[in-house]
Amino acid sequence: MIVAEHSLSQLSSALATGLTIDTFPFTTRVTSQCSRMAINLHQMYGDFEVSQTNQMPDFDVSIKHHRRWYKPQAQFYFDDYPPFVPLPAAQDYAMFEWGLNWCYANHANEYLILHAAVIARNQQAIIMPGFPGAGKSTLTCELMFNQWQLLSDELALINPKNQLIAAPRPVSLKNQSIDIIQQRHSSAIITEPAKDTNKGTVAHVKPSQQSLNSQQAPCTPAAIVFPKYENQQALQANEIDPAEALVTMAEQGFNYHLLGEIAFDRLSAVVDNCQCYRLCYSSLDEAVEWFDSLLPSSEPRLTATKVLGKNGKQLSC
Amino acid sequence: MLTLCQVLTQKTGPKLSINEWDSLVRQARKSLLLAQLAETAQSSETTQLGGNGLPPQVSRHLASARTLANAHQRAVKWEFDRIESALLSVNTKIILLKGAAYLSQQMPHAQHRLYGDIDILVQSDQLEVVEERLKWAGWATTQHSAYDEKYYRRWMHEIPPLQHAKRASNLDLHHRILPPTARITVAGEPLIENAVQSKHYPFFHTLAPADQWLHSAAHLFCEGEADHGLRDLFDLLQLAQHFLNIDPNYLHQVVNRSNQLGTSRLTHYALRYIKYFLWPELSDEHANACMDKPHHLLSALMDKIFIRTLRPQHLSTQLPGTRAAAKLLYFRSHYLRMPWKLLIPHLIKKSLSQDKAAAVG
Repeated sequence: MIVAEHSLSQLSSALATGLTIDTFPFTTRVTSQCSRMAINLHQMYGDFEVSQTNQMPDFDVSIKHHRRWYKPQAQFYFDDYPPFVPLPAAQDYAMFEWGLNWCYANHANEYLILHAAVIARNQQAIIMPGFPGAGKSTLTCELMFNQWQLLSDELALINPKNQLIAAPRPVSLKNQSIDIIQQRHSSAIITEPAKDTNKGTVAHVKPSQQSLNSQQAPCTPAAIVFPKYENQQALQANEIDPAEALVTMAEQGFNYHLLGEIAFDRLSAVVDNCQCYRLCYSSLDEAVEWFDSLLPSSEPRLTATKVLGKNGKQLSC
Repeated sequence: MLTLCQVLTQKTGPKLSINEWDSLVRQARKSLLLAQLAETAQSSETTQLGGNGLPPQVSRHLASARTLANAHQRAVKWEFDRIESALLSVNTKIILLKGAAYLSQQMPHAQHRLYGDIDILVQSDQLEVVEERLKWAGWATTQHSAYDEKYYRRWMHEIPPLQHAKRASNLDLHHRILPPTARITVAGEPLIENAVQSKHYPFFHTLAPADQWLHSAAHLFCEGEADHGLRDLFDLLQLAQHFLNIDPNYLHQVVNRSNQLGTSRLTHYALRYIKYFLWPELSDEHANACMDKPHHLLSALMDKIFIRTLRPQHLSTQLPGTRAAAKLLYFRSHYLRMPWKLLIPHLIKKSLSQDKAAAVG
């Protein structure tokens, strides 16, 4: 039974004592009595399965409000312990999403976990390492609305077979991106924004049905793209040295240092199989077109000769 | 006996349900014992815990904890290398304490342990040169107010914690194992004198076997935080079993040494609570042989505190009154650390500075 098949009040009741959701590849038990949590979970996780059987969830988290009458705060708990300082109560749902990302990043060492967005087409994945201010989340969201499978907007999970594992969850957008995506895609389901977070105004976008339908199949890494939004910049894509890509991605590793030699071998295997690009863009349409040329939907494999560069000219790779 | 303790000490019991595993994994993780649980679950011959019989939701988390523990070990061994490099020219015993000592002696449980920082002990007249060499090698004093700095250097058994500028690893440099102002204390010299050279890491020393137990017991039973009491008790159990294999009189030596140095109250508590949580077969003779036993009423109060604060700090196994017990533990640790004329101004000063921090933050 999916979350959407519950009424909001049913979901609220379940959430108050602990609601377990299948958040592939993990299961998450979330407990909260906060109304915004119920509303947003109902909205964002509508297509996710509620776990019926009595199973042990991977992550046991809760969101509680403190200090009801004076500057109320929200606190995130993992295994009954609060790993972070509290945030203003209005950021409770955002804190849940950030907190759950932290859970994945810190407690799933079977995967090499990098800070990166991952999208895919026909089980061929493109990894976009996450440098702040690059516009990665907006781009990821845009690609998702253009029939790309969202594996994650934050965390690349690489398994021992060097495959990317999907972990689709609501996409986090900031500031102007929220309006941009809403305007470009009227069907997009977006939460009420939370203001004055340390990242500015934050909202979350419901992941596409397509992304959830495809989540079980592992993806093969095909390309690594370092996107950078630059205002009024014509689209420019340059190939970069795989060694540079490897080192840069290692820096974006959450548990790279924990896996040690395994991390290096796994990341090397991934990079070996990928073409690596730096992409500068200012137009989302042009960027989407470029990605489409990298992995056209009609063809199952990356064809090197058909990459579009500046001014639409073909790059030879 | 707590289920987690039963499993860790490989006492056989009924097959665990998935709900029990759920609680067990969370209790173990909270207590920094998840990697140890992974090891016990793997090596146990009992069918209910056999490697192939573990539910996948459980084994993936145990495996993840193992990876973390392996990474910690690698990191600590590298720190040994860097500390040696920094202190090569210093001609004094560099004594590893607690976790670092267990790892350097290649004790089996050290492989499944997490390490927060490295503790070393040196002679007090060598403190300045050791600190200086460490600073040249990249360790820096962590941010402290002028008050904290003065407090540490004047009243404590260690200097303010050092953190490496590049690796962010933590190093605690001690000149004694207990503060000089503490109600129960011992000078550094008797322990340093008896320290033995490490077989596997010859640059370093470790405390003599009995002194290692004495120190770990003293550390745990002067502690004010209830984070990982069970882990520390487990360490003490492993220490005892490791050295008893070598010398069956080990616990007698521990008690004699504690009596000699004046820490037998703390050793008494350690023996009492290891028996309660982890080792019911332990003979009472050792705890009874401690000279400074608490009055039976005080003992009853300590029981109420310690059976709450030493257990895993997870809701699934929490007893009523744990918060009160944790507060009492905190006050007790400060009471032990300083006489009243120092303690009261200190607590006032600390609570005022915390209020200021809370108002700003």
